Parts: sequence; structure tokens; C-alpha cells
Amino acid sequence: MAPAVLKLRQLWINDAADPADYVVVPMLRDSMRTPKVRGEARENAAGRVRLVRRAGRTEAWAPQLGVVPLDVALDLKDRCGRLQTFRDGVGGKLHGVFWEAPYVLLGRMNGVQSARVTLAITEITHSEEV
Amino acid sequence: MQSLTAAPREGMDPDVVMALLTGDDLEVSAGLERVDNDGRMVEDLSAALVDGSVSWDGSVDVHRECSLVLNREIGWDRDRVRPYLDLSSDLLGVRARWWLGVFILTSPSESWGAGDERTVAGLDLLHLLACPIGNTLTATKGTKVLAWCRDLVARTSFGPRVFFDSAGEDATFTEDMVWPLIPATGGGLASTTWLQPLAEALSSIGFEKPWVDEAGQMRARPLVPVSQRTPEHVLSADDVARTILGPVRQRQRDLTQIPNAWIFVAQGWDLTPVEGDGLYTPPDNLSVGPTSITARNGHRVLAVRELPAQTQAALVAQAATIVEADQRAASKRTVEINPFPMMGHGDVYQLEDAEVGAPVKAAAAAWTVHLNESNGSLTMKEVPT
Repeated sequence: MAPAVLKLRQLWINDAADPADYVVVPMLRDSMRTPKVRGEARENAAGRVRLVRRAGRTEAWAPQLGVVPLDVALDLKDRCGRLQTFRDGVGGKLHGVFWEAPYVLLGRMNGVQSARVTLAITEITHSEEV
Repeated sequence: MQSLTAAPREGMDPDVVMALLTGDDLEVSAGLERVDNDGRMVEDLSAALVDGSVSWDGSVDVHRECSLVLNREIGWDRDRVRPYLDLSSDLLGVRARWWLGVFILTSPSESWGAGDERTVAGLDLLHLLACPIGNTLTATKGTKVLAWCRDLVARTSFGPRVFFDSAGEDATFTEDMVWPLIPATGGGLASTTWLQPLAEALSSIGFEKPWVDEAGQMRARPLVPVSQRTPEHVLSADDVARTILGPVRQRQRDLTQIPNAWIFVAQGWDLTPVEGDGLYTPPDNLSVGPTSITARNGHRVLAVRELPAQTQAALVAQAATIVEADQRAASKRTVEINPFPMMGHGDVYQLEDAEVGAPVKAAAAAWTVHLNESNGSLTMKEVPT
């Protein structure tokens, strides 16, 4: 009987300034995306409550990544603070940035030093010319 | 107040615009444009705008001021910029834009290393006239005043967009006027600025001081006492369905030495002024408002003021405005107001707030509109009836 194979989804990360510069990391599972709008149910005189909000929306995303070779973790470190395009392989796409890429060294796997990386991505407003 | 359908809202239904301003849902976004001397947009600077506010103060010569936070440098003290506010409503399916003035950014404070932000203050275009002329200025008896004022502005860098009310088109200087390089009075070596003769020439024919509107156009119109003006808008703190006022409203009173008796003298006339000819003594304020002689238990506070009036009628018109302002100074009302970019120059409101007292007419003294969804502020002076 052939051994069981677990195929992970992959997260493609392309540098927005140079899309040919990309890295692919395995994604354990998608985590919650957090869209956020600034505004409030504003209390006025006479007890009136009114919806007042700022145009636009921000979205935060913290995908849980699988184990990656150390050189991928170091590649991600170089992408901190640069606009990236993220694609999750199932239609999800987001332009965003992460400001830190903390990683922890794990053991050697198949002779390669491995690491686990965590990313917290913030969406950046973006428009594409068609 | 701005007109509901002033540019850039031409063609919109005024009722829909008012519904947008007072409706149940409101989305706010701000932007910034660079404009040329004709007010045409030449560059969209919205991506550089981080935050800011626009304020108006009726007690100073250059009325509008902005404070902007930008993420890059633009032409300090050169470029003309026009901040705007876009309001929209999902419920109404409406979106509209309000210009908030045209400014020269004069006082940048720049920082690097923490977001690279530039905080800069700007003044409206009257700022361009608030510098010394560098020469003695004259106006000859018989010259049309408004034409002379337009020529004066044309000698500055203000630009062509000058609109004076045509009601004063035929008024002429009734005597030769001189504005010396260094005024005889006024203190120190302060030179006469372009703004001073302009304001005095307009005042001499009963016009208000010049001001610049939300589109960057210079305006002046005949002075009408606030008591004779119809409120342009009702601000109600009582209307639970439509109020745009915040929950906290304030009333302040300062009765210190506010006159309740006046003598007004025309400035610079050759003849010795007598009552009705260069001199105007309005009736004492016996009973109007809390500064009246009666309200102060008989205390009479007299003010003697010289005014730059060409005619007795202009002297009386200016005096009436001052008398009213002295009466208004007694009570000041300050309210928080939801994003309301309609506020303009010298607005008059009907203020309804049963918790504070009976409805009153109130003249705007100062306001601030933020370039975000925050509440602005509006300070008004009550007009006693």
C-alpha cells in the first residue's frame, strides 16, 4: 500500500514591484480575515443615533503557514515592508504588506534546515489597470 | 452658508443634498486638489493627504485656515490647494462633493523617520493681499470704488476671480483718499498692506470686508445687519429624526465692558463732524439683551469709534453692524456638529435647543470641519431680539 500523501495548499507571494520575484510557502489552513471599517453609531442631541463612517476598509489576514526551508524564511524576511501580491490557489488574492516575519528554527528535514514562519498581512488599497 | 447646489454640486436636487447631510447613514471621504489661478484642478493630491481640517474665523482678516497632514512635500507657499469632502449615503444612493476653500500652504513642519509626515498650515487666498504695498496708494474723488478695488486686486497675485456685488457698482469716492506707505497711526513701522485700502474702500460704500469663498473666489457684498438677515438654515437639537448636533452643547457669556452706548465718527472728513453729517449717535441700548442698560442695573458703557465711511449712510450702516455685534457678544453658543461642509462665510442660523432656552437667531463666529468622519465644531453668537 502506497504511503498517505498530504497535499497542502500553497500561498504564492509575488513582489508587486517585480512580479517575477516570488516565493511559494505551504499553508496549513486559512485563518480568519478581519475586514475593518472606521466609523460608529454616533450619538447626537435628542437621543438620535446616526451611522457615520469613513470611506474605505482595511483587512488583516494571518494565514497559518507550514514548515518551510530556512532559505524561504530568510526570503520572507527580505519582503518585510514591501508591497506583495498574495494568492492562495483557490481564487483568493490580496495586495498587502507584512511588517515582520518571525521564524523559529526547527530540525533538519530531508537534510535541509527547516523553520516555521508567521505572517500578519495588512491589505493595501490597490487598483489594477485593465 | 454654501448654496446646496453650488459647484461642484450643480444640477443636484437641493432636497436630496439636504437629505444626504441629515440622513440616517453617512460615509465620509476627503481629498485634495492642486488648482490653477482660475480654480481649475491641475493635479489630484488625494494620495498625499493623510488627515487635516479646515477652519473659519470671522474675527480675523484672512478668514479660512487649513491644517493638513501630508505624506510628501508639495509647493510650500506657492501651490494653491483645494481640500474637499465627499459625503455619500447607501440608503439614498447619493454622493456629493463640497469644496472647503483654496489655500496657500505657508507653514510646513516636516519630519523624517516616523512616517515621513508633513504637517502644514495654510491660509486662504486673502493671504496674498496681506503684505505691504511698498508705496503710497491714492484714490481720486469721483472714481468708481468697486472698479478701483478690482484694479487694486489685479496688481496682486490673487488672480482674476473677483466678484463684488453689483449693488455698489456706481458708488464713487466722495473725496480723495490716501494710504501712505507707513500709516500715521497703527503703531511701529507697519506698512500699509493691500488688504487695508481694499477693506476700507469697500467699507466706505457700506460693503463688508472682502472674503474668499469655498471655491477660492473673492467676494464682497453690502453690509446687512444680522438682525435683518433671514436664517439660512435651522440647526435643531430637538429634532430626533434629523438633528446633526452632538449631545453636548455649550453657552458662554462674557459681559465685560461690552458697550451699550455708542458714538460713531466718520474718519478723515475735512469738516468738523456734527450729528447727521459725519457723526452718528445711535440710541442707547436700554433693553435689548443682557448687556442693556436696564439689564445692568443702570450701568452705561460708552464706546467712541472712528469708522472709514464715505457717506453718512455708510457710517450708519457700519455702526448698525457694530451695535448688533456688541449686543450679540453677550452670548456665545458652541455645538459639535456631524460632518457639515456647508458652512461658509458669516452664516446665520436659527438655533433650536429647548434644553438651553427659546429658539434664537445666531451668527457664526468660527467653525471647523475635519477631513475625516469626526464631528466638527461651530461657534455662534446669539442675536438678541
